[in-house]
Amino acid sequence: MTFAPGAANFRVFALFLLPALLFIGVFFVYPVLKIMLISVTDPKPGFANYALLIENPALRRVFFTTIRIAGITTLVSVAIGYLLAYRLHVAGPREMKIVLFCLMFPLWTSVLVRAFAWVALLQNNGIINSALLGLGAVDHPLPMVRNELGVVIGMVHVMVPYATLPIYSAMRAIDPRVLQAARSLGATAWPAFWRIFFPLTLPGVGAGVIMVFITSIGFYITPIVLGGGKVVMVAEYISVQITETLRWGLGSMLAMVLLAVVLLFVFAFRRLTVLRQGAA
Amino acid sequence: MLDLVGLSKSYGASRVLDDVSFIVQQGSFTTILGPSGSGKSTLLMSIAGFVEPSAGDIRLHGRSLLPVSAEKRNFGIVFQGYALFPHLRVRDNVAFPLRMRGLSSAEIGGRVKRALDLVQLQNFADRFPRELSGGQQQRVALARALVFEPSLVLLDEPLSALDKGLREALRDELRRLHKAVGMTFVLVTHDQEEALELSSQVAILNNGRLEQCADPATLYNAPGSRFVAEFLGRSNFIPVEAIHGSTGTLQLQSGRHRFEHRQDSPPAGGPAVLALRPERLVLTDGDASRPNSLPGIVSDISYRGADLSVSVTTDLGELIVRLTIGDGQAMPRTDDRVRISWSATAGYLLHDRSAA
Amino acid sequence: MTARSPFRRLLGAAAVLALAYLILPLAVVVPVSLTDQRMLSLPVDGLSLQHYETVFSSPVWLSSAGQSLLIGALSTALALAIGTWSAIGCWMLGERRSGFFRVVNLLPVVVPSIIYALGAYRLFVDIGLFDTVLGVVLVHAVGAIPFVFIAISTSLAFVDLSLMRAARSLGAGMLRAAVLVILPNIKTGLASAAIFAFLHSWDEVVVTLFVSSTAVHTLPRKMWEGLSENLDPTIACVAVVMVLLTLVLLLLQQRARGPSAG
Repeated sequence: MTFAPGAANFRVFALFLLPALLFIGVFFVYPVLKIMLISVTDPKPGFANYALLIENPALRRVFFTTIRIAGITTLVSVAIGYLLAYRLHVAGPREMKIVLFCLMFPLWTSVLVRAFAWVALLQNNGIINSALLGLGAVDHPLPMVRNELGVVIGMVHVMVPYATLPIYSAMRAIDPRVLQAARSLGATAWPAFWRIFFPLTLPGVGAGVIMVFITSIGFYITPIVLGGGKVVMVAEYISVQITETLRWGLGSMLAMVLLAVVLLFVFAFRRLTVLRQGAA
Repeated sequence: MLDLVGLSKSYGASRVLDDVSFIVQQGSFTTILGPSGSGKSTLLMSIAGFVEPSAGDIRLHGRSLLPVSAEKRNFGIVFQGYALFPHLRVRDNVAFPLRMRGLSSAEIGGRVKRALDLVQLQNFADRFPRELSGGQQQRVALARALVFEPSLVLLDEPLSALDKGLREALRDELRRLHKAVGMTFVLVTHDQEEALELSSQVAILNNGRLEQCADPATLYNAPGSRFVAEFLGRSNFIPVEAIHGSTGTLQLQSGRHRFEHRQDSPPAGGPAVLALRPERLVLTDGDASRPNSLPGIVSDISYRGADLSVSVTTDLGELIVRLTIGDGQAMPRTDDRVRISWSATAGYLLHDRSAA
Repeated sequence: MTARSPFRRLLGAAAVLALAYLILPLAVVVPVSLTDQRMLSLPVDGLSLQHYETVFSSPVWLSSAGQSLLIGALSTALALAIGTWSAIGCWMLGERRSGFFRVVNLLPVVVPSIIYALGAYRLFVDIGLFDTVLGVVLVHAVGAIPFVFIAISTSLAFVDLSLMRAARSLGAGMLRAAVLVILPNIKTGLASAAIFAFLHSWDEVVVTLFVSSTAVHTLPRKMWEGLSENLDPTIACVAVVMVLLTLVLLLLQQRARGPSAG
C-alpha cells in the first residue's frame, strides 16, 4: 500500500521531506562537494593531485597501512562477532539482556573515552604492564601502544558491536526446522553447523565484514591516540596535510579517494542485502 | 449522484482498473463486488481521493471530484482494519471529524452521543480501541464515519475480519443504519451473499473491468456473463447452439439433445452457453411444464442441512441439482438412473467468451 | 552436541572473555579516576577523590560540561525536528518511492567524519560560523539525523498506514494529521531518537575539532587536548562523567522501549 497520488505526493515531499533534503544538502553535501572541488583546483586546476597517487610512494604506503590494519581489524572483529552472535542466538532471555548490554554500552560511549582507557591499560607504565611486572610474569613492559597491536586492540573494541549485530540478524532469520531436518537426516552437531548453519549465516557475515571495513579505513581518533604517530592511517595523514603543511589539494584528493572506496563498498553492501532478501 | 466515467488506473504495465463506468444513486446502497485482485479496493480509494486515476473522471452532482483533495471530499470512510486512533478514547475518535470542522464543544458532545447511540455503544465512550472487540471497533469506525453527516459513506470490506456469526449480525446492523440515516452507502466486498443481501445495486468487477452493474435479482437471474453467473451462487453450464424458432421460443442444440428456451433479449449469435441454476432443476421425468429433460446417473450426493446437492453424470457433462428436503419425498441414491428436467424459462442463455 | 562438551565450554569461556574485553576499558576508568597517585594508575594505598575535586573546581572543565550540555540539547532539538518529519514522509511514500530520500538521510553516517570535518571547516570559515556554538550545533545536528531517522522509522513500522488516510478522510490536512495522529503513536521512537541524537553530540570529536578552536570547547575537545598535553587522572574523571551520562541515558532508553522489547 503506497500512499498517495501525484499531487499529494508532491505535498508529502514539500512538507515532510524537503527540510531534511535542504538541511543535509546545504550543511553536508555541499561541504563535501567543496572538498571534491578543491582536490581538482588546488594548487592548480587539473588532476595533478590524483596523479600523485601513482607518483608518490609515501601515499601508497599510507593506503596499504590503512588497508592492512583495517583488514586485520575486520578479521578479528568478525571472528569475535560471530562468537558473540552465536551466544546471543542460543541465549535465554536473561543472558541475552546481558550480552546485548555489553554490546550496546560500549557502542554508545565516546570513541575518545575508550581510546584513553586503552592507553591507561596498555601503556608501558599502564595497568596491565604494572600488573604483569608486579607478578613477575615479564621482565620488561610489553609494548602495546604506539604500535599496530595497540591500534588493532583499540579498533577491534569499537568494531565488535558493528560486526555482531548483522551476523546475529542473519542467524535469527534461519528457520530452526532446517537444522532439525538436518539432524533427522543423520547429521551430527559439527556437520550440521558447518554444512547447514554456517553457510546460511554468510550473508550476515558479509554485511558485517563490509560495515566494519568501511568504518575502519576512515578511522581517526583511535589510531592517532593508540598509534602515537608511529602508525599512520589515511585519516590522520589527511589531517596532517591540511593542518600542518596546508596542502589542501593533496589532503582533499586523499579524502576523495577514501570516500570513493567507502562508497564502493556501500554499493556492494546494498547488493548483498538485496541478495539476502532474495534468498530468504 | 456519483458518476464514475471511464475510470482507469495503471501502475506501470499492470492495469488495475479498466474503463469502469457506473452511477450511484443518491440514498442507495451500492456494493462493489469482486474476487481479490479485481481492483475493487483501488476503485474505492479512487472515489475517496487517495488514488489518482490514470484516466476517466469521478463526478459528484455533476462536478468533477478529481481536483478535490481527499481531506476536502467530505466522505465518511470505514477502512479495512477500522483505523481507529489508538491513543484516543472512543469518544475522541468519534469527535475527531467534528473538531476538524471547528464545531463548538457543546455541539460536539451532543453529536458524538447521538452517533454512539446509533451504533449502540453509549456505554463505551471512555474506552480505548484496544479494549474493544472486533465488532465493537467496527461500530466505532461506523459512528466516526457517520457523525459529520457526510454526503457519501464508503466501506472497505468492513466485515471480512469477523467470524461468521458476527458478520451476519453486523450485516443486519448495516442495513438498519442505512435505513436510519438515509445516506448513500458504497460497500466493497468479495462476499457475494453480503452484496446480494445488503444492496439495491451491485457492480461486479473482474480483473479491473466492470462485468455488470444491476440490482441483485437481475444479476442472479439474468447474468451478463459466465463470470457473473459463476461468481454469484452456483451454476451449471451447457454449451449450446441456438437455432431460432418461431415467436420468441428458441431451440437449443447440444449434442443429440434439443431444448426449448424462452428469454427476453437473448444474445445475438456466436458460441453460447446455457446457465442453469441447480435449484431450478428437478429430478423427474419431463412434462408439459418442464419440456426439457436429460437422462443421467447420480454420481454423488451432498447433504447440506436444508437441502441436498445431487451430482448427476450426463452425456452433456456433470450437472448439479439442488433439492429441498421435504416430508415424505423419496430422496435419490448414488447410482440411481434419473432424469433431470427444467422449464423453458429456467435457464439463461449467455455469450461464452471463454469458448472463443 | 552434548550440553557440557569441552568444545562448548571453551566457546562459552571465549564468549565471556570477549564480553569482558568489551566492558573492561569502560570499567577501568572508574578506579583510575579514584587513584591516590598523581599519574595514571590504579589506586595503590586507597581511594581518593582528589582528582574529582580538581575537575569540579576547575572553571574550564565546568564550562566545557555546560557547553556540551547546551550544544547537545540544541542539536538534539534540531535533529529531532528535521529527522522526524523526514522519516514520516518516507513512511508515507512507501519503500519503493522513498529510496532516494532514505539514502540522503543516512549519508552523514556513511561518509567518514574526517572528510565532512574538512568540508565543514572550509564552509564555516567562508560564512563566518567557524568556532561558534551555532556552527557546532549545526554539524552535530547533521550527524545525528541518521540516528533520528532510523529510530523514528523503526517506530513507524508498527503504525498502521491507514491511520493517516483515516485522519485525512475526516478532514485533517497532512500536516495536522501527522501532528495529531502519528506523533502521539510514536512516543517511544521519539524518546529513543532524542537520546541517540544527544549521545551523538555528547561524544562527537572529529568534526568538532575542525570547526572550533578556542571559543567552543566541548568536553570531548578538552579531553583531546588533555590527551596530548598531560595524561593524568583528571581525564579519567571526565571520562567517568561522560560514561555515566551515557549509561543513564541508555538505561532510560531501554525503559522507554518497554520491558518486552528485544
